[in-house]
Amino acid sequence: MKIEIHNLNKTYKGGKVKALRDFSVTLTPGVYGLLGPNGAGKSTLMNIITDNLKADSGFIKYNGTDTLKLGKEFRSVLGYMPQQQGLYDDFTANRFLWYMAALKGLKKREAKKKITELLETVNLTESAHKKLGSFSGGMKQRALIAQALLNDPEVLILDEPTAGLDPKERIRIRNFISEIAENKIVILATHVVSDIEFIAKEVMLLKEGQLIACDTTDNLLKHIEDMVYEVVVPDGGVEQFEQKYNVSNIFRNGNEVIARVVSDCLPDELNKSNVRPNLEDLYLYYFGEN
Amino acid sequence: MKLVFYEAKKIFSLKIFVICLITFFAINGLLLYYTENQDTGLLLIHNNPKQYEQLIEEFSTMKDQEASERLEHEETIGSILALLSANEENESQEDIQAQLQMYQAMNPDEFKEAAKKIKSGYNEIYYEFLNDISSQISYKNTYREFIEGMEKRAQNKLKFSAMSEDNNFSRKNIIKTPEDFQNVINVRAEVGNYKYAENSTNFQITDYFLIILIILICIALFSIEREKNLNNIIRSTKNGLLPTVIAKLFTLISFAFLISVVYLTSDILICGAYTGFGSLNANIQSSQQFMNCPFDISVLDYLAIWVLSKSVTICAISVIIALIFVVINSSVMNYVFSFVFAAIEFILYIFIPSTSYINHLKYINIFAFLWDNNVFGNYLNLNIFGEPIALSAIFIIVSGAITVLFLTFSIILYVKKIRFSAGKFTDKVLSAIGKLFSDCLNTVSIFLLESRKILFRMVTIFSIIILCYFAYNTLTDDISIRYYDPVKSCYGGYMLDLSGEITAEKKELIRTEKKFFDSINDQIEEISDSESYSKKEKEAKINTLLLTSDSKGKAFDDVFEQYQYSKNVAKKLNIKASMVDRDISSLLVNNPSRDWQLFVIMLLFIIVIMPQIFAYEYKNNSENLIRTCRHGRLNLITKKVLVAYLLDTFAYILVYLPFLLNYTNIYGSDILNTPLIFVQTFSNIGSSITIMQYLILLSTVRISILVTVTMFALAGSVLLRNSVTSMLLTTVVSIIPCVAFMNNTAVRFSGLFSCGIWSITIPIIIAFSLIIFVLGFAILVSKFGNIKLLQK
Repeated sequence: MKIEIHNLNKTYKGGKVKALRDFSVTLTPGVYGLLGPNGAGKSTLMNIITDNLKADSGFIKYNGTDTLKLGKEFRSVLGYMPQQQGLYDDFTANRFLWYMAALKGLKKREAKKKITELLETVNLTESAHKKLGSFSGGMKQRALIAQALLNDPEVLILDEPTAGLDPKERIRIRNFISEIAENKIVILATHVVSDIEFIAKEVMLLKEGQLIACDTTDNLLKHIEDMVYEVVVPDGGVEQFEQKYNVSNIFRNGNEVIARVVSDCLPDELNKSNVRPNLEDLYLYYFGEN
Repeated sequence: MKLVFYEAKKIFSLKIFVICLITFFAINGLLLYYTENQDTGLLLIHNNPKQYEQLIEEFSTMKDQEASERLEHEETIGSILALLSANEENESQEDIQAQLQMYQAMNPDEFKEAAKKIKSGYNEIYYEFLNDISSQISYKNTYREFIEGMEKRAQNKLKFSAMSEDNNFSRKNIIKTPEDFQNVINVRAEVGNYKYAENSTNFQITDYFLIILIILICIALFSIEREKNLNNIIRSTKNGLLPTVIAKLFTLISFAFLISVVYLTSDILICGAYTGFGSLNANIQSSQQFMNCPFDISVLDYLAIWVLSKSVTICAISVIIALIFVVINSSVMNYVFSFVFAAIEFILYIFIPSTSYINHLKYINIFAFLWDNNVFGNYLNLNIFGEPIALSAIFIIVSGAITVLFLTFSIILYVKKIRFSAGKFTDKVLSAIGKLFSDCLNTVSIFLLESRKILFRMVTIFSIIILCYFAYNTLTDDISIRYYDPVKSCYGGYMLDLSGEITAEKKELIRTEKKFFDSINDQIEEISDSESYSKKEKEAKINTLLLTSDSKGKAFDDVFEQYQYSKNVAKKLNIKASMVDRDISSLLVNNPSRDWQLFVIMLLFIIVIMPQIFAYEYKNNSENLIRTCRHGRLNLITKKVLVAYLLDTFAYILVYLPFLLNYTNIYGSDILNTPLIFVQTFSNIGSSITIMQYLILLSTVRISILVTVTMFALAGSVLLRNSVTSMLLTTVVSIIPCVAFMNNTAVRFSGLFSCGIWSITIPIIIAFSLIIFVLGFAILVSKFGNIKLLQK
């Protein structure tokens, strides 16, 4: 099972805004984290993969065949969880899942079994007959995840799946994604880097429409191994310091203010100690302003 | 002020508003121009403005006596000229020559002048204009008598015993009327060109456009924020409540006033440009249309007051609509309530007689304020607690009160965040039913799920209940014909025996009756010559015969003419001759008011229901999600369209079938097999299709148009990604033409058949609707399904 994305380009506003530039990548089963700041092109990429948007040039192949040619066949192995939450407020969760099952072409018996299972998985069995309009943000997210998994997809695209979830639910969903990813290609776009830190096979870093890196978390972190420090910030200089460097965290230790900084050119005179980098540092390194 | 600026910006950022504002302005102007062009009298003035103005100027400076003499002189010349030109064309007409001889003897001067003028040709236009002047001069005298005799008429009326009570409204009204007209006691009508004032103030289409623009403004100001869930954010800010709602309402009223002034002024300018701005400074009473105006004002003053009063009415309407938008928490129900409000007002205005004891509902009504120059161009007192109060005063009080009251309500309800959800109750009921039948309702059939999605909605259920009620009423309605005219009654009696295929027996009956009526004069002569009767007996017998001749005889003339017609048609088309009762058949095949009413009901159903079908997904931001499903594109679109057309079919059956069933129940179904050509209105049809075939063809035409409108509504909702704007657009495209042709009964589908153009027009209509269907479907597939139709 393989998805090959070749030289995708997409522009908006008559070519003035370039959302994707020569985006190419090959994906095999496993979780792929998609990281990038707002406007980096993540949604555009997902919309093109799901054929909600047409690319200006380039193509996507699924197991060697163009997804646009596959059309319905590709969609029957696709699961998509969009970001927005304003879904059918007057539907109950149960009715929503039945509707999606019909659109996904499931047989009645199969749909019944899957819906019961998934409602259990996402912890919505008791709220199945309540209207989506009365759901909290987290409950809506869970209903959306459930619908994405209805057809047991081979390709699963999740846009901010854990947004609005409490820590317990987040862990539960994260683990669930990790479990089912064994024989699926999962693309997971998020701003919560901790969601992908441990479950992503590879992380794709997208900046201004370009794929600037795609590798395992460990390999990516190796790039910034000697660039993350904890620095004791001089009194009254926190603001100035933040302006100068990419600061991922500031905390107080007794009388000292300590900043966690990602930088490849930190002056020697600073009171600093090298620390082990994490994905948040990596994000800051690539997408930070300084 | 900043808030007002942002609210105004919101209005202009609604593209459909900007498009409609410009398009309506253009369409309004074109329609007004078209209406003027349809009037031959106005067209003549438009084509010969100088000649008309010159004639007006000539007569306006003359004294009454001089003008009358001149008119008489010119009219005689005109009559002679008409005869002379007719004589030239057809010399053998003896009666024309006899009339000419008479003129030559009686009016030698005019005859000479006419003989000279005939050389340069008969100037028909001049005499048309002269007719116009003549009616103005006649009105001039009538108005003088009307004003001068007002006091006397009032005194005469007061002599009736019914008026003797002091507290009687009629008495007070009679006393008040001459008092009010004291202002214009010295006003005299003047000959002039007032066409622009008459026509611009009677053009009603502008008002529909203005109301639609007001609804669009309300959408921009209230609905969009609610649909985007921005209300809570806005209301949580410092200026989010009172200042915001005041800014919104201020913007709404300002826009309503401004747009109204621009549109209404443009109407006056267009009419003025068409027929010329005549006498702006003359008193408004110079135009016969404004005879009852009790104010001493010039035409220009009146037009200014007219624009102002209508703009104020539009502002009052905008405030009412704003309250609906503030209070009701559903965009669709906002539209439905606004429409229902307008419809109720319209029905009250049209159907309540002016003398009814509930005429307050007719006149204290937005349409009374908008139309017919009721407020300042006419004179009317209403009975308010026994006191006669002028409509103009009522207008000022009511429009002021409505504005203040509704503004206050809107502000309070907005600030207090009180909103009603029309669908809450039905939601609960439907949810309970859903739980009860959970297993049955759980299906994977897209068709059933889509049907459920559309049917289980408040607005659909509401519409279907109304249609069912309407169907029941139509089915049980008494449509039997009641005769009040003896001739018609006799005709109906004949047709009871003669309807259907003409048999030998029927021929014999006609022959016998013919013989009887042919000999009626002989019989009268015989009776009068007879000596066996007394004078009284003779008179009685002759009177009976004359009465018979007058009623039954006239009816038989109709029947015989119809018989001859049927025989000729049968011979020509080589079919068996039949007779059809004209009145009974008209109910079924040529009933313009029913045709209009039923078709508009169908259109309203489509407008309310269809835009929901696709816009529902946009409203729920789910189009991207469902597109990623296996059947989320073409399959879903096909099912949605199928559900739409099945609903159409269901509505069509409810609207049209009950009448047919009721008709055949009362009059039988034999008429259905009779060729339509035997109904004389359809003499031009040129075919022997039966009434049944005609009804099928008529249904085909209607269905084709309804298919087109449905697809327009569906595709519109996908292009606009919104149901309410699509509803408005479909209303403009379908309902406004219907309203424009409401009184023009010649414009009906049955007209295609009576004019004999059906064989060409029906294929064109079907082809047109097929093209629209294909185009609309292509829009649905490419926009909603995101499927590229044309691959490079």
